[in-house]
Amino acid sequence: MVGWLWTEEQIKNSPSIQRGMTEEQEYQKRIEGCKVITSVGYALGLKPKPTLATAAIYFHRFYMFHAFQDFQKEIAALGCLFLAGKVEETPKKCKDLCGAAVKAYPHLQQRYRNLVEEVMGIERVLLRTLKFDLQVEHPYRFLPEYGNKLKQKNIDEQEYKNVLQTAWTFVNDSMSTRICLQWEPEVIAIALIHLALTVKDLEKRISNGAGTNGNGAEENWWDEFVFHLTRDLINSICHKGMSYSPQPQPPPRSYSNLAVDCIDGIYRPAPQTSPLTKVCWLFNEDKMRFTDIIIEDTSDVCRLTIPYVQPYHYGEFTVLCENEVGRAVASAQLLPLYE
Amino acid sequence: MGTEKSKKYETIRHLGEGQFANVYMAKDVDTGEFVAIKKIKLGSRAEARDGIHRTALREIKLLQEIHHDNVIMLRDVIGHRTSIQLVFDFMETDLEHVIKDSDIVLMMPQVKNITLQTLLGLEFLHAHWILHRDMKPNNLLMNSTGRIKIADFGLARFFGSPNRIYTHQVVTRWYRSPELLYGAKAYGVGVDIWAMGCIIGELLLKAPLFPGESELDQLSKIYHVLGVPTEEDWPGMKQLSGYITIKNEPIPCLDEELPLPGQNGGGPANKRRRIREDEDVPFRKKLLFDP
Repeated sequence: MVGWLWTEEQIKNSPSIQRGMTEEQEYQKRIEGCKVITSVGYALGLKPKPTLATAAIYFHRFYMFHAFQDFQKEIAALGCLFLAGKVEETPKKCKDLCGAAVKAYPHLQQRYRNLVEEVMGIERVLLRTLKFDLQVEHPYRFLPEYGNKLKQKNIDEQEYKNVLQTAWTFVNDSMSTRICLQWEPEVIAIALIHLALTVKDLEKRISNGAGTNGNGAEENWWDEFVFHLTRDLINSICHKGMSYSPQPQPPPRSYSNLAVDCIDGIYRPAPQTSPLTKVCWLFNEDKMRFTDIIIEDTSDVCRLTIPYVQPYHYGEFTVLCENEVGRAVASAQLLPLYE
Repeated sequence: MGTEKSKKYETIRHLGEGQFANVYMAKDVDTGEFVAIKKIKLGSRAEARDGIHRTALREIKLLQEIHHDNVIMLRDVIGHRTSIQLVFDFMETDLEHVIKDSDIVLMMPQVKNITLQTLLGLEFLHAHWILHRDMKPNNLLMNSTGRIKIADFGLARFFGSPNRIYTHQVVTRWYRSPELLYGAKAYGVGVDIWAMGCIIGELLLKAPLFPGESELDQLSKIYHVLGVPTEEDWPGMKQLSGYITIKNEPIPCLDEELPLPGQNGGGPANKRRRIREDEDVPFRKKLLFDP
């Protein structure tokens, strides 16, 4: 791990940025590269843990030494996936890998006469760039261990499972962000469990009773795993780990059979309700607690808008309307394009 | 990076060639120490069909993580445009040579020492969740001070999750454990320990313990000495995918030598025969069917 972490300053000064890209452009390229890794990886039946996550880390590290201007993100992404497959004992033939890539990204075929050669070529550059340090650790490994600790803190079995599942999804989603360049997997695991607790509205219960010790320093559930991690730092990691909006925003993949239409993250369940008396919105069959969504309930339509879709929004949205005539229910699921 | 580093080592001579690599003896220019350089073949198309060979990646990945006196040390990895070179400790010989050399007589204390060193190395690997999967005398290197180091991690891998599926096509046949011969896909440290038992036997015998000529012959050679296991000896044996019934031979054969402990070297009176249950042979415990 030593030597593979960078400061915020260094990350904002990556080779591509030094060569004239803006930070946003650079970050966008990273996200797109990771998208190549996940979409080609899924097509080949590979899983985020460990192969895709390893490939993503290789990819992020690679571009701390090289510029996107010199190495095309698609080729680098495929090279990372190819190497990670071998390292994680889930090998895929280079030919098959490139076949899947061309299917997902037809322009690659036109651009490269021999994609297989390109990928094999970059593998060597990649190995040298990575200094043959191929073994990488992921936050997944620490989730159950740290999560277990929560069980001693008034979290029941079902809540524990929910939190772990959510944290696991966050780890998957954080793959395309740059947090793996800045923090150890242990720290990321803590941050994303913290985020999962917050989203599940359990965070307060955990921190209750804790607070500060005799010396006035704050006390947190993660103290026994990693020292000197302040709540502020963990919050900032959560923010970074999630501060991307998948582009384009993922359209929902499944609908309920009730009349629901959706445009760009706007759900418009339209129950036949007139005159309207009572409206209740639910998220995952629970009271909705988001503060970053817009709800408009008028006499003939109930509308929910999510201006910026975040991974924690993934789930089922339901609206219940009741009046003296009867009751109407409509729901829609927001699912990520990849899981 | 590549050119700078390669000047650090001066090639002395070619030591041997494997399927995926050439091995050279070289000298570290800075320290004067001898090293062995394993040059992974990348040049020709056949070998490079799928890029860097997985065996090389396994060695790099696993050996960078572990450091133990009885495990070969990966000192350096050099990446060139055309080749990858792994720099190891230089070791004078290996146990296969020692066993084959008829001028060397291994006494019990020496066998014990070799065994202990190897087991320490193996214990360390297993404690770090690494299965070697190719334990054999040829992969146990020895230097002039008598230090034994486990080498060749081309088949090694991390293990842990009990339901993970692994290939059973590992371990050189003579050292392959019965569960592998029966096609087991979920196995553990037992495969290395079995091979260890075979190696100890071979050190004492100065000849392979179970030199099977085919997978089937391998099983019959094992059962010849240890007896055919019953469902009681080895629960679940019959569920293995490659399971075949082998008839028990009624008469222990008495035609080959098997020296027993305390009888160094073994005289003509000690014949290779079926080992009795109560007999205390040093490697017997390593050759249990259901450890």
